[in-house]
Amino acid sequence: MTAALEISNLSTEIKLSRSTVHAVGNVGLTINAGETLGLVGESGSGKSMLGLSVLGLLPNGGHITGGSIKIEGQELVGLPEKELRKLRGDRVAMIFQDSLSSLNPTKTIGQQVAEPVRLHRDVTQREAMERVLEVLDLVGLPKPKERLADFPHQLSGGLRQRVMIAIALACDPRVLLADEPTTALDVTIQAQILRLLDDLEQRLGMATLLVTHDMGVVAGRANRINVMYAGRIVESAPTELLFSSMRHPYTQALLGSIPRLEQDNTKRLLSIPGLPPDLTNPPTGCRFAARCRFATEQCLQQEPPLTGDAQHAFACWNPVDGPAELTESVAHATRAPVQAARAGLGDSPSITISGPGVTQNGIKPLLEIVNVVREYPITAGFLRRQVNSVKAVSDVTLTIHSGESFGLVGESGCGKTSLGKLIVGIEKPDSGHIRLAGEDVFSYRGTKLRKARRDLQMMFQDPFGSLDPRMRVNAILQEPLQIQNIGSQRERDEKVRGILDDVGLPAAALERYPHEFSGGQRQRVALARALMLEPKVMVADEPVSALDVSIRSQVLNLMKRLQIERDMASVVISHDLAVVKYLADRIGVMYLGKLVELGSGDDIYARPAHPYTQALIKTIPVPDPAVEKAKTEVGIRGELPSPIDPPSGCRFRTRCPLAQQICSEVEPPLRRFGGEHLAACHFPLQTPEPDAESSLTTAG
Amino acid sequence: MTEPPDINSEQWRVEHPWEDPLTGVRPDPLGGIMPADHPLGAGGSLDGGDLQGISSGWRLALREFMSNRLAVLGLAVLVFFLLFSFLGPHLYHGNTTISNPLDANLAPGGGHPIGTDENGFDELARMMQGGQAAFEVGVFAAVIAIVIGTLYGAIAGLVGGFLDGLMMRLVDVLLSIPFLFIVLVVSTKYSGSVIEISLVLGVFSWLIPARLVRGEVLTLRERDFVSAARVMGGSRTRIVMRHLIPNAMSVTIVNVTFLIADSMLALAYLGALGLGLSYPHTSWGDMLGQASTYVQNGQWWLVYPVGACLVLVVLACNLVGDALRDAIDVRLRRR
Amino acid sequence: MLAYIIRRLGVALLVTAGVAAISYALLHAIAPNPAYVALGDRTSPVAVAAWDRAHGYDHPEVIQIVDYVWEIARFHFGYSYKLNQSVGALLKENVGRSAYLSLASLILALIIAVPLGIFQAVRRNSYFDYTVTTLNFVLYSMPSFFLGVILIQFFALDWHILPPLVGDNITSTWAAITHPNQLVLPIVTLAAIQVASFSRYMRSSALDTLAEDYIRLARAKGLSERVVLTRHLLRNACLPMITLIGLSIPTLLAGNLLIEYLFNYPGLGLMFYTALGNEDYNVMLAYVVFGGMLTVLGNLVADIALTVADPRVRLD
Repeated sequence: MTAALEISNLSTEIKLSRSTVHAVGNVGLTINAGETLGLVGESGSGKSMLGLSVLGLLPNGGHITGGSIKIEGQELVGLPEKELRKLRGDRVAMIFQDSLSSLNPTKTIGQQVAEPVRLHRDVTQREAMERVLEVLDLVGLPKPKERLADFPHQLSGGLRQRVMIAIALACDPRVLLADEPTTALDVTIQAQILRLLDDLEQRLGMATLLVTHDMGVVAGRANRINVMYAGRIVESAPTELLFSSMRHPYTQALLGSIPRLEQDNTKRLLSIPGLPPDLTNPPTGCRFAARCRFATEQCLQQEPPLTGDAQHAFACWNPVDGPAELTESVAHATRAPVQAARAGLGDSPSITISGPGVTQNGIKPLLEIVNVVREYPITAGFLRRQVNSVKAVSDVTLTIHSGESFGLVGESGCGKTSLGKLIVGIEKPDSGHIRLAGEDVFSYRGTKLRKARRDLQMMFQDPFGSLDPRMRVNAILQEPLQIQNIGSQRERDEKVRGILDDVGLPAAALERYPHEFSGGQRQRVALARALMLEPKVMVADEPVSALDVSIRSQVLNLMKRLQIERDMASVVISHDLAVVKYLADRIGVMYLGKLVELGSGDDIYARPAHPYTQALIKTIPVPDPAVEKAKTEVGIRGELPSPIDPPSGCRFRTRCPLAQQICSEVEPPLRRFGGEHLAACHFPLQTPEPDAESSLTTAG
Repeated sequence: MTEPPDINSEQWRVEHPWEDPLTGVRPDPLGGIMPADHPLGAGGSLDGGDLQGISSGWRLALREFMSNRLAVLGLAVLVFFLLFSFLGPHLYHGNTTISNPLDANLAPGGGHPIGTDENGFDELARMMQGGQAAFEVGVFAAVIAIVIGTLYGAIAGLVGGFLDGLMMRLVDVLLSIPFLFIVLVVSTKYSGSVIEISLVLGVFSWLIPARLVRGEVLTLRERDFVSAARVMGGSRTRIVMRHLIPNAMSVTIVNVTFLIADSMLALAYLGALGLGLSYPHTSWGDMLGQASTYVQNGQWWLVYPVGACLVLVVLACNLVGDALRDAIDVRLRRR
Repeated sequence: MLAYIIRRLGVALLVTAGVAAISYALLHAIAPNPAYVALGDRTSPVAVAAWDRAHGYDHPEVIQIVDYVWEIARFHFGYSYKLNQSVGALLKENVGRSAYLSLASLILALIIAVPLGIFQAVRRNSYFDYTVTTLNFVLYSMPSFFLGVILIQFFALDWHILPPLVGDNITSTWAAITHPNQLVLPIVTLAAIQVASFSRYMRSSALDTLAEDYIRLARAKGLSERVVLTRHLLRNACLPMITLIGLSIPTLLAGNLLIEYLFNYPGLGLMFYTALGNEDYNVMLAYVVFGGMLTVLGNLVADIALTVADPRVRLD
């Protein structure tokens, strides 16, 4: 049987004005009909270029320099453009990452899905429309007939992605190239789309190349995985084999660097130091050598060939055997202050507020967020009158103790970032209070406020936007000390150097501008700046979501270490529950502006009480084939309702499998499920403590 | 021909991290990620990865600018005409003040390299005078416009709310009044001297810079680094002086070159319509007022040399402005 | 949609009123008392005061401005005491010929600039692109009247293909339309200046659109390059052009003025130029306000056209 897609010795280059990027080098892979091949790599590894090479759609200056691409035995390299066009959209189709930018904004859904049908099939307009309805139905677009005249911006992200899949499937392709098909989506929607792709592949029997950076995404659905690094395939094996007994150190490190839900969060993640090589001038020898723990002299001199059998091939001189054990503890020091504080709490819940700034047993919490509400007005018309508002944070109450690490998790639009901004005073609450050590600091003015701000610092998500492009790192790090008027110039210099060293950057970095750093390095500078004032609380908003996997673990390890070394409370905000669980002792789950569940990492992961939390855990792709393949249900159906007009009663009820009449009428209060574990649900998955309801009246 | 790899190109990253003299080799701060027998040396490269060898932002911008051949040419043209206009009159003397019918309408040659006009004035000397007027009016008017525009736009952007709305509606209204017409009308009363014309042009061309600066301030205000400064406790003044103004400057700088070009063109239009500088001063536009008659009389020397000067200088300003914008873009691309 | 148009219309009327008020205030500040124009320079102060009273010039400034805005609202553009004629009639007489010149050149410019810009973007960094870009830069930096002079030199004086000036026989719009050879040079000159800025803008807009993901998806569907350009690029790349055309009305009017002056073509521009020479402030004021109205109208039409052409524009 001929393979649906067979690539051998493929090399691709992209010519730039001053240099040439050797994007793909000597790559080979084979996919049979009905199979999925996962192509995993970080940004810049050449994985997307490989997909685009198949279609002959390389960006400007890009061209194939050698090798062969065969679709069902037919050679594509060297095929005239006209012949290639006949294949595109017909026998080979592609799904891209961003559905909003990939659909033409001025054409209707119907027109766009019909286009390939009209082009490749000899059909009338009517027949084409019938086919359009058929595929739109196939990809699960509800009421496709009514959607035909809609424009892309009128659909939600998940539905748009379905439309893009429909375009790809319109002509029954034999090969489907999916380039990061779910990266731009929220986890709950991602699960739905991945499930759809699985289902379609089985029903239609096509070959799928699934290009992604996320090991979790491929774990459950690829038959085979190829790992790419710096333009080369470094390892290729059937999925189970790759996860259980990888041979390449890069694969090992990549898997070891991903934080996992079930993992002991006191262990250090495996980290890959440094940055990937520059592909305009790749090093001789093994391209991973400079970052490899096992590199020898030979690795620097000779490039290892892809060896092994057809089943399991890898390119390494000093292969490893199986996954690395995470043994190294995060810090040698124990968290004495935290443990003392928490021990003192006993079973008295920190959330109970019986008097301003004092919990029942008299221990002052560090940070209290009390009934905080934040709504962003929506204005319209000439006079800018307010017509509605986005309910970003609705009546949230929680307490954070000194030295504690608190995690906030939720999908986009759940209000987690707004809450973070409220804590550090970038935003002001519409009602409610934020108290630091019992004092309502943001009611202060002038110098008093300035002094108070010192204790609340923030690390931002976007490593590109959070550093002033016109200031050198030295000035960036000195600025907080200048503003707060701390120390003499000499002391400041010393402090800057000390912190820079702490975050793993050389002193030479001081004289550089932000644009001279990579994303991960910039995030280190941002972290250093937040630490300059030795705050009592540091808020980190999506600190690693803009970074590549291997860089992510560097920053996570660093943050974990600094959290422990310094007696500082931190609030880590992320959409990724695994990241939050790794960094935080206690986790709050938010949904549409509401705090729905609160508890320790284990409470949340092992004993979720709220159906949303449980669904969230189920939908997160886990880099473990056994776990992923065992998943049977999608998790959460439907899409996130608009925060402008949230559902009445329990805001999750529209997507909740357990919802009943009462959920739409009465807003569920937070109830206790043992210790500090709280959740707001009428039909919780755990049994609540008796008469907890009466003691907790946080709502209202 | 293959060029050697450019070490300052965007794509360049340290090829051999262990050889980077800037960073050297340093152990991971946690100690022991790289085993001691790693061929690259104990500890291997830095945990955070090594720094990329890229020069500072301004040098990057300068390099980008200098690599744009048209822009360098434009700069050269500007330098030439500056020398021509301001140094020229000291080296070449020609009659530009005493009307002399005997010398009128001479073709180029003899003592008049570019001939004479109907008053017997030496065309080359007049061109030098016109050049002075072009540069003076161009720069004065641009500076006036940019100062008013930057202040106005910055205030609107910073204050925001109702006042911002009001200020911008006023700009909308003023922008709806056709520029050249209102300038011409005002010029019937105020023109004749360089200062007057510069004032008139400057006072009516600050609207676009005001809009640009306001837009820039509004985007900058929402940037995370400004939020970061607020979180540190930075005062409003500090945020404006240290973060907003320096970052908004690039928009302003690029705009000045375009404003100079536009003001020079406007001066030419005023002159051509007879509302230019008064005797004995002149501008290139004044000299081209009767161009249509000159060409019909075959007096080409009174039209093309002056016209070429005008086009070249305005073109040079536009080229430099365009290249500046691209250069600053390159610098900011890495944000 | 209707509510949106009504709302935008309201804003446009307010802006127009603002234009009229500011223009009036400005001209009032620099113009001499029209009484002297109407009655002659050696009129007695008493007669001047009487004239002022009769024509409302003795009211406080603010009242005069409000009065003027009210006049403009009823399309009363005032009276030219120099020409002893109502300015409205003057505008009416000339508007057709100017409109013909402007619209013909605008359409010609768009017909050239849109395909040119797209073609440049598709062939970016080719010699063709460099040549056109350089040419555009030169045209963009050239005063329109100078370009006109160059064209007169070649087409009229050297090659005798076209007349150098518009003749006296062009007394009506119809005459202008029926004597195309006389109008070729003015229209081409005015169009050339606009081509420079339009095609430059079109090129960068097309470049931005070409980089969009949906163009890549269109290619991935197997569409030919020509279909990708016409069906997916053209409309999206032209969207920003709509706004640009709306904004370019003042430039068009300015070009109109210089071209009419150069070719001696009787239109609004020439009328304005004559008024400048005569210090006929009422005519000047009327044309400034009229130009402002056209500008506001241009923006209004562009905004509404954009809501039709771009489904993403929200109507609020």
